[in-house]
Amino acid sequence: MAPFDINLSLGHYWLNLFYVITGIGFGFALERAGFGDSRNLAAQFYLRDMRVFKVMFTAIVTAMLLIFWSDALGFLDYKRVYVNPTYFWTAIIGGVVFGFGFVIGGYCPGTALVSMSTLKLDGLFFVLGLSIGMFLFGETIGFYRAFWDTSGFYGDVTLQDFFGVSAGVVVFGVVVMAIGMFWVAEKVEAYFAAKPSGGNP
Amino acid sequence: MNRTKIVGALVAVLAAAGLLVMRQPSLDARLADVETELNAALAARTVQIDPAELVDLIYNFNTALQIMDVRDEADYNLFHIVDAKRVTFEQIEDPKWVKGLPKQTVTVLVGNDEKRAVEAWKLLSVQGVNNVYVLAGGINFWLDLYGDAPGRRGEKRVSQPDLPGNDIFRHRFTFALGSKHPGADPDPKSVPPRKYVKKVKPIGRVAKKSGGCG
Amino acid sequence: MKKKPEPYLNPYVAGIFLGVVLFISYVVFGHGLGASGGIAKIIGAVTDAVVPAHTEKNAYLVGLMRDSAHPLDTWLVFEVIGILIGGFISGTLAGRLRIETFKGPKISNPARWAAALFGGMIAGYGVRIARGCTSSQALSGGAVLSAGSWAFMLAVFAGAYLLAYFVRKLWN
Repeated sequence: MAPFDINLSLGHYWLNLFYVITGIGFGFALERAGFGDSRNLAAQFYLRDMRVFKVMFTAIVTAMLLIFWSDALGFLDYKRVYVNPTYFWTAIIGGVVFGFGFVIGGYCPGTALVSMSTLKLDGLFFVLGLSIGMFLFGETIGFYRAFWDTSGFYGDVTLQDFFGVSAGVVVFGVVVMAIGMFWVAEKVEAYFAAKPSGGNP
Repeated sequence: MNRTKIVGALVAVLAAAGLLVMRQPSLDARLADVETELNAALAARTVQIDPAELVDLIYNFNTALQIMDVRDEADYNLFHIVDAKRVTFEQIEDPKWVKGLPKQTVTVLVGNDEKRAVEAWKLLSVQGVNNVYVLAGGINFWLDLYGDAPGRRGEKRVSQPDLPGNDIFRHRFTFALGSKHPGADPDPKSVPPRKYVKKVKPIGRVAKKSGGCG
Repeated sequence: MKKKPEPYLNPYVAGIFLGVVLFISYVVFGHGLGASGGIAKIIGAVTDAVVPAHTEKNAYLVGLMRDSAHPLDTWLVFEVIGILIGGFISGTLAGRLRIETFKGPKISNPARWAAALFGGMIAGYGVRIARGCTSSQALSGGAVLSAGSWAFMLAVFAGAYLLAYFVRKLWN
């Protein structure tokens, strides 16, 4: 039953090769989606092009349904897959800061890599910026390490734990919410695309 | 809204609804599915920790530790390690109880030998509890090393556990001392030093395979 | 000689493709995708190589290096290599391989480069605070319903939308 301890069965070199292959699939998908272009990414936040939202949530819903159905059919063990631990406050603070950087720079780490790989200079500068930013984090984390380590740490909390319902209910809720928001997104795009300047002065 | 989108949306909703009505596979079924992986870890002895390691864990105040004693009540009352809590299989197989267990804690399962503790380990592992280990050799071996019980009558001392054992409490106690017995809380500074292979992985950010960017 | 660039995929189709890759990652590796972590490891390794004495004193960097025998020998780094290759292949096949700068219509190239650099710095800092980026937290953590990941996702959208008006000259 997946996940298997492939480190034991495959050995080091094959394992790393598989990771490269996975990355290739990932990068390929991102580029095909148009995420190597910062204008497409930024347009999300001016409501002209809801592509970021559509791709992201379609991906989440697809993977989520596949994962949970595999678990229900006994093919994958959800209990043993990695679930990101919940550090509530750093998630919120880091998310907002990252959001600022996203709309200024027009990329996120994955998409910036893709952009850089197709020789886009703005992607290259963003990756350089990421490197500097991460380095600065290493330098300054000493000042608030305790907060970063412990604040809002709840362990492996899932949405179903948080709301006290079964996973199936959460999955259903996410699907319905996503479809509803896709419908809204289409309407928003149509409205703002009609305006010549994209709706912003 | 074109037809493909509507069909796609319907498929997603149906798939999600289907999950709602599917029953969770039973614990036994899930156990059968992962049996091979679990047995491999057991055979490689990655989850059985030496008593000396447990002593170090007890005295390491940086690690949250819970010792779960899976033996019968009678044995538990005769002797148990300091701060060990007795747990039953009824609890271990209850998903609500498992969910209520403190997270980010190292759990060590203790039996008389290893058989019962290993069973408990399998059940906890399949329910997703991490950082669970088994005391190698169980209480029998622990007392071989650290027990100087009043009332013991010349039981054989061994330096390696007798595996997997039959889970019968080998040591004799004339009084039920529980954890008041000196062997329940060996002072790491005064017991004879013992070399062991460290098996417990540190918890927290480094313990689980780093699946995220953290 | 330059091939006319192909149009991008329909976002829903691209999303399904991405979701399948994500799912396969969980099946094969037991965890999701990642990007920023790979960059972090590389930065750590570079810092270590260039100023080892400084790195030793930094507890956080030491922790970053502690996961494996060599910091670059982690799955995140290999996945980053793959992302670069994948993006390159897709871009080449679609005729989108060209040295250029994407920017809003009203700013200059250097201004865009500065914004990308500055935005990257802020994003890089935020990503480390949050312990992940859109790939590892939003996509992967989101798919397995981690509460923290969903909180992160909401915060990212909130932050970006909040600031969008103030930086609109960059893009509109």
